[in-house]
Amino acid sequence: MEETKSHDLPLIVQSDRTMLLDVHSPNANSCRDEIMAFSELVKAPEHIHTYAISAISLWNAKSAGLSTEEILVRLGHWSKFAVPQTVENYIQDVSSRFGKLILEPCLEEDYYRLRITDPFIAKAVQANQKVSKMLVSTLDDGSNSFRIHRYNRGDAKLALIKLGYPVDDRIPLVKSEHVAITMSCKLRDYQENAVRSLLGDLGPGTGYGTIVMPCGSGKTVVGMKIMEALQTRTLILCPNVVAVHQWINEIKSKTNLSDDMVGEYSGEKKEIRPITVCTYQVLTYRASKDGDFEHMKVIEAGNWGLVIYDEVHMLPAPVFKITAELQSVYRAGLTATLIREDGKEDDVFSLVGPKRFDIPWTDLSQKGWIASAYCVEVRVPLKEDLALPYAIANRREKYKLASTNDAKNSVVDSLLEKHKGESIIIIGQYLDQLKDLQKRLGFPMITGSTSNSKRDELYSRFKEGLDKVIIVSKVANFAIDLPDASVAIQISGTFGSRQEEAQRLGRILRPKRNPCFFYSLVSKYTVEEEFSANRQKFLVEQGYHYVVEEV
Amino acid sequence: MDYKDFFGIKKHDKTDVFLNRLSSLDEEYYFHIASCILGAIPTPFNKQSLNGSILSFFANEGNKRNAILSINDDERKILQFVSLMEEANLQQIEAFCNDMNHYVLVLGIENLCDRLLLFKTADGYVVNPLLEDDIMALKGDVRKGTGTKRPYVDSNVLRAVLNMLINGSVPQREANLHRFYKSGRIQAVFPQFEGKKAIRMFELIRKVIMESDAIQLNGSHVSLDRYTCRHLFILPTIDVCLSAMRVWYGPELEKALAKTLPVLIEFPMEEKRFTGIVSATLGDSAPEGFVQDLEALGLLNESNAGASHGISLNEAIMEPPLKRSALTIDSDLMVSYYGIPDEYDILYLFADVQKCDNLIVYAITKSSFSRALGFETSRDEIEKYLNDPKTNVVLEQWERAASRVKVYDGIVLKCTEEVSFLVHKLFGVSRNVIAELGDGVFLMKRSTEEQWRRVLSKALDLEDLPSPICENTHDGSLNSNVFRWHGIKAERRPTTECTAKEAPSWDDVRKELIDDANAKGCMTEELGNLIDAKRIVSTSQIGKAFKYEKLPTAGGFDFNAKLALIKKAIGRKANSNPIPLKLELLEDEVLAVPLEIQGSGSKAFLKAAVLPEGTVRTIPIGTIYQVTLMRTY
Repeated sequence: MEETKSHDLPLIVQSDRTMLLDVHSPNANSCRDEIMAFSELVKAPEHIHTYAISAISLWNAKSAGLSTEEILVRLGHWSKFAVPQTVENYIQDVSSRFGKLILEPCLEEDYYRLRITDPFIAKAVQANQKVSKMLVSTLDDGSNSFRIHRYNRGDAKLALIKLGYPVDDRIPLVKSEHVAITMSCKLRDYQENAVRSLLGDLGPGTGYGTIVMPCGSGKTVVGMKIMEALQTRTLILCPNVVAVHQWINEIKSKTNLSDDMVGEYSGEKKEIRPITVCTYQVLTYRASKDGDFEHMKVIEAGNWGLVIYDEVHMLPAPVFKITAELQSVYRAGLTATLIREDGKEDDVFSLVGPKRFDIPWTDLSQKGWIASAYCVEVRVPLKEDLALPYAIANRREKYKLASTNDAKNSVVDSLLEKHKGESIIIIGQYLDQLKDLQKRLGFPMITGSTSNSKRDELYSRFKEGLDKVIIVSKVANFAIDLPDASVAIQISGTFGSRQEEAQRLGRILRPKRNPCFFYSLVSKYTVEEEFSANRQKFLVEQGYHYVVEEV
Repeated sequence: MDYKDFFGIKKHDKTDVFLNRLSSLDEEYYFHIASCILGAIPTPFNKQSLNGSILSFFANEGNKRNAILSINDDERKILQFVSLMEEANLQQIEAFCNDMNHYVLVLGIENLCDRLLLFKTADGYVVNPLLEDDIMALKGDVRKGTGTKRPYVDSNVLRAVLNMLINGSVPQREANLHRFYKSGRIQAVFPQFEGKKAIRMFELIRKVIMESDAIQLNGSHVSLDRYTCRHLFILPTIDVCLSAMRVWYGPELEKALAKTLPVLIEFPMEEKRFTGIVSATLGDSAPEGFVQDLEALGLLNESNAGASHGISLNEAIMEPPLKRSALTIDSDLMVSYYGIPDEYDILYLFADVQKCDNLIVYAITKSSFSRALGFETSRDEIEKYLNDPKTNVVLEQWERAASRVKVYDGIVLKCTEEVSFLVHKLFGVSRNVIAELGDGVFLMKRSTEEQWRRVLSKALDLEDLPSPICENTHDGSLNSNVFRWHGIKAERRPTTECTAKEAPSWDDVRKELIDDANAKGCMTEELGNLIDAKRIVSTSQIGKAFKYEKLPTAGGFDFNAKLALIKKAIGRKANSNPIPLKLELLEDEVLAVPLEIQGSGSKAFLKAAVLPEGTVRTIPIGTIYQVTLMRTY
């Protein structure tokens, strides 16, 4: 590494293991390339990006071959101030745990060998009730080794990581039946990087993980490239039927796969083919509360070589089970936002895989790979006749009153006029509000009750430019691909959901010649302002700036 | 720059002090000392002239050098300790030298006084000011300040704690504080302070701030005195820590620590030992836990000195502070910087602290901004401070939202149109109007009620204005007392670098003195004793003009003479220590400090502490062959 003057050093390491990177420093990019290997990007606003060192990020680095010494050298090299001793101690302690528990093939079929190199850790593991139940027996070869049934592979890894002991899984992933897949399009450099970061050299410790990329940046293409690399039977899990159709269309249009090679497994169809696209809902469906997940067994038996989890942050809890059992196959989680309300991000990392790739939204925006977006919060005064009902309502009711404020209608009209001729999505939370809008303006509308076929038809019309304006409820939050939408008008949202805000912005971020506009209508001096501020947090942390305009 | 600057210890003219110390010595003792240095002194003697000669003796570089060379390691520690304490009594020195036998220590101190390295005062001992700098420059075997640099309470920490108090993070009721302490919020803001120490640090600083009256918390009504806050922020860490000790343990401990903490600059030591010194200074047991509190504040480090829990001063405090960097204001309204801001920095007023670490991070929120407006911080002031056009728009909107409702505290004056005219025109009334709430309705200042009432009453030819309807009893006055610290305003300075000079050893000097005595033909047993006692440091003290007193001796069969000598050794002047005796016994020769005579007549015993261990033995006087008094004074 070159000698760098202290005033050029771009990194400040805090005692809580966060690292703050001054992106305007001449050495910022070099520094980022080095620290990304052992940390996670937390937020990336305009000037200072925050990275965090966690146990998982350190173990991930170790599994990729980065030594503890190298991590400390990199930190010391880029840090403006002395690295806090507590941080150094943490890195040494935590990263040293990696490699102490090794999962290896076993001679016996259906079993794996868990070898623990540290006798104290072996004792601690055996003393843990949950884990010890999964340890079938010790192996009498003088080492601290145990047999684990293959079905318990995922659960054991999860339980051990929660104990603070990561497992170095060296069992080669199984490739199932060969499927010849060839893509017909070229990837962008960051997409190639994403694929490479997940697959690595296909050796032990690679081939599974999570890829975090902004909305509209081409996660589907990345997924397909992974399929092409592995040439195997693939199961793709999606959040809804529209997304399923979108994947199928993309696969058919961008690969050599014929119609009979690609199947849909959803509420409407039950096709299991070499490439099968499925919804999370169908997997978690059961006839009664205590009944079986009848479709899960069917999926389990599919002999998959690769599982792709689209919008992996939405992975429902019951799907963890099947994910735990699919440990022997290649796995890729795709998402734009890793925020989960139930705090199960670590579980996603443990079972699907650690985050292998992340890139700031602003980076892609600056390079033109996603559209640059102007975010505007339009503050609309509350209608006079709502002032008193609002004042005496409880918080939940206040939010609804503010969100469905009729005064927003005139703003919608002005914006439609301002962006006449452009493709516009109007998104809202409350069906009554959307219905009133539709009645008044006459635009097509998609809600949860719209049939899948009708949805496909309306989306197609919108894509083809036959309908310039479309009204959608939150069904359109995720995964729909509207490449030519350049304006989104959010008239109401789900309280303070940061995820939803980010996903809605994502509807218009496909690259396009002109910048796009995201309008969020908020009733002035109401709780909606407060929730709106929270919703915007994620995007603001990604460098987006909301301009506030008042009516 | 030395430790005296750091601790704000006053410096006086060394010569003046030296001469004063000399003059304050007991006459007989003075004569004894002067004779050893200057030779035969005619009587009556002119003390002023003698003082000048003694001063010249120590002004001589060679003499000074030899006097310093004569100091062994134990003596060095004692002298440096006394110097760091400015003045130390025997109890304090003994607490410091806790591994040294009491009698050895006492004799050692007496010897240092004989050599004019120490002066005895009414309250203890002080170091010869002419030699003090050289003594402090001596290096020892003890490693100084070997602790790891740790975080400490600086202006950023003070601001952060103050901010948390005013932004409502911290419960006001003491009963609810423990839950707050367990919440993890403190550790989140101050991650560089470890666990429980962070909580203790917070507790102490919170108390300091509350005692200073910088803020007053009264439910939702929080008042803040920016002037006092500024004074808090410019206090050096040492002053903040001493104040924390004062508010928690009392002013006596504060004074004791102000005196004893400098010792840790040179002597990292075990906690027990330091506590002993503090106790000796207090004249009472030091309170439990104060060392841990000083560690929590970051003033003290755990060091590598000593086997058990060792402490030293945190070196990081001695480093010059880094000036505040430029502010970085991010799109999520996070403001960050590193370094120490000046006392006029107002970020703490209008933003909420997120992190106080290598990088300080505050978040500007709507509520933090509104709160600042309540502290008479204007949007203009904030915008000027931030100097960021993007945030100006947001602040302007927030100000408009905040100003939809205003709450005033004052007295409402309602009057007719004619009287309103007077209210506007009479200066003594108009300047006390807070706001005009409507036609003929004015909000008047509570604090100057007497004044505007008087003026308006006079104008209206009334005895007095009517009594208020439903008077508000809220006392809106703010105690704007500036918290007076103990007056030491030391700037942060680095410690003295040791400047050990290259010099011959004391053995070389001793050899030179002996050779000189032999050459001059005046080598005697008495002179040899004086050289061994290091009271002779210069060849100018050797010569026929010097009369070296023979040490009194009694021996053989003269039991009574021996007894008399022993009694003399024990019963020296009041407040003096016994004179050590050399005892020739049947089988050995010992040096001992006589403690008491037991029994009488031929069966009398001498109870004595035998050096160097100080073991107390009871020796029949009849078995002592020869007794020699080891001092002539």
